[in-house]
Amino acid sequence: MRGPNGALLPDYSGARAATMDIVHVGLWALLSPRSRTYGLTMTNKPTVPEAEILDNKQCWELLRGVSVGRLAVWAQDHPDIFPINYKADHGTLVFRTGEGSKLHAALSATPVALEADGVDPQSGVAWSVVVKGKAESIKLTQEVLDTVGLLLFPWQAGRKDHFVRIVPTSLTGRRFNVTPPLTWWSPLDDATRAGLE
Amino acid sequence: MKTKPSAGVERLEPDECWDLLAQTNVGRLAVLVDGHPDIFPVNYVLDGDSIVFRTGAGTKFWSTLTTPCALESDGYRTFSGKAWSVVVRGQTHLILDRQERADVDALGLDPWQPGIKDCYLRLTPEAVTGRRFKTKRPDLWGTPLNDARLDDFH
Repeated sequence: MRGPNGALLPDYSGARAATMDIVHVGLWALLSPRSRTYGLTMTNKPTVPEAEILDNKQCWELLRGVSVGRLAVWAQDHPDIFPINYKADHGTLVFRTGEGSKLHAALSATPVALEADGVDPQSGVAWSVVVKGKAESIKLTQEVLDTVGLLLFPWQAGRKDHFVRIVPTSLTGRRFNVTPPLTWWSPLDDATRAGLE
Repeated sequence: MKTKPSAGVERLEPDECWDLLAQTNVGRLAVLVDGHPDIFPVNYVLDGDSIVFRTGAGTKFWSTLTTPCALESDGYRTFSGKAWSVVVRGQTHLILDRQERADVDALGLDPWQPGIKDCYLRLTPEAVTGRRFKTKRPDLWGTPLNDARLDDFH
């Protein structure tokens, strides 16, 4: 189905068709020789399994090592996503934002998710950590300023009047080998390397 | 709610958004899983006026198919000292046709994360928005120095 400008219109039939296809995909994946050879063909690479699940401590170490993350919010009827600067603060994450749709959506009834990631270009090991929780507006007290304020330079120039804290209800992290070419990945922060060593 | 544009933020035209999307292969996909936004990095390619990526058949895959999604990609240019961020919102559907999947493979869609990612998904945009802005702390953002493709655009 196409709209007036030639763009495909939203089509939910794919979801129904998927019910059938998932069986095929599942079977095909089991039978696929590729699914069995990953572990064997990568013997000369760093020994990181397909996706290693990280524990909370590792997740926090990695989160503390970078400053840029992506914030996913629910904006009325669709998800939206923004790059943000954040800072880990006593088991929570704090970021700064101006008045606008990002702040509005972040503080809505729906919780938010913040993802940070990185890759070590030498070893080809990448990681991704997702924090989920409720975002709440916080007052800029001296305590907040001392711990996070000075370090939270706005990633984007302009007035950033609001501080928002994410109190995690869930923290998940994965580490995995990136298949070449690594040049695909733009390193977000060199500090991520230190986090992996 | 009307959003007042911040000082120093440049809104990008759709054409420019697509040009920028074509220059990179990694994005972050935001989906709603069990009523909760979730987010994961994906490797994608542009195919005409849509975005194609691969995933395994898990919870996120199901959510991707049943709720609207948003894919964000961003980058930083050392030359201009400016960062950009483009967000594509829309609905995703599964590519079932074998030939269509082969065509997508020919575009160079190889997931960077090993594992079984045999579901091909196409995100059909309903809205594309982009911003460009000066960063105060480019060191925080990092410079994609080893991104060979960016050399072409400097």
